[in-house]
Amino acid sequence: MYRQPTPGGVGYGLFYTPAFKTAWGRGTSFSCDYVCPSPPGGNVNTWLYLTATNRAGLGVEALVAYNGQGTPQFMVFDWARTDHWQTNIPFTSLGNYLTTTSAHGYPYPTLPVWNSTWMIGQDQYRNQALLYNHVRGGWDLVYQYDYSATDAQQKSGWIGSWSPIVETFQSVYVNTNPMGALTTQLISADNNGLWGNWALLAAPDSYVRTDNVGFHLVFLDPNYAFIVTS
Amino acid sequence: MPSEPPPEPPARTEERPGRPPGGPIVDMREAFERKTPHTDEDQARTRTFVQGKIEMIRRDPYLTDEQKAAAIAELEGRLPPP
Repeated sequence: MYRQPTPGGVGYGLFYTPAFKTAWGRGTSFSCDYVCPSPPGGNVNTWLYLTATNRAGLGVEALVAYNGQGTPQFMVFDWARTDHWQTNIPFTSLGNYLTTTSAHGYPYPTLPVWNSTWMIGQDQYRNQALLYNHVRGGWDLVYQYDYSATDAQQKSGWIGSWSPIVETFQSVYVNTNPMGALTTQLISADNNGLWGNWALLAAPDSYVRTDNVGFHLVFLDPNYAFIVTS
Repeated sequence: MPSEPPPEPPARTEERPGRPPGGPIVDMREAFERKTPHTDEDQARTRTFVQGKIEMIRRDPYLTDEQKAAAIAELEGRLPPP
């Protein structure tokens, strides 16, 4: 039976500045390594998401979903569709994708993700989500959706404003395992469809937000990497 | 008019030892695609997901009241019927 948790907020995370959110032409693409312990530990007893957008208003959230201390899942929520929930894969089936990444001298369990939104025709866009297959050494396309939209739909509005965040659904957290995101980077296509270069998320293009629900910072590399615990 | 897909993110071999740069993209959508129809539980979870975003907006210390109202209206338009 579905149990509806209390809607929540941001345990810790990054948001794009309004200028950076719209600073792309025909395409925007995002990649990071979610630091995603299994289980989340502590007092997590309902939903908790590690999620991010690529700045597009109708892009996808390729996210890690916790529900209590159960097996985490990789999920895709597509803002371009009405049947939003698409991919739903438990961590037990992600052996080729879950890996370990070192940061600040410590190994962290990570899931490298890459999602993109770009124009494929007049008022036609494509959303993609990919996972890095560390066994064969390449990205695997796990989700794709083509749809009609306008430039204004992609760039106006609030959806698409969050970079990696710990999205919370409880009033307080204690003793959770380290979680967050590493190597957050983006790339933009200009108004001619030409892609620039990947660049780490920079401090001038983003800002930190925390709703003070118990998470505290282990480290922040402004602003492309952070780890929090509670 | 059509744009090419984005280039791959650069390899960060110092953080992912042994990762070769620029391997081919393999289409694994069939393995990952949703196999079951959407359910009432999906609708309920969507409501919770979107309501969570609305709460994020309400708590955002950087948005003005006008910006919050516009953002909440945007999200409320995405809520599925109860």
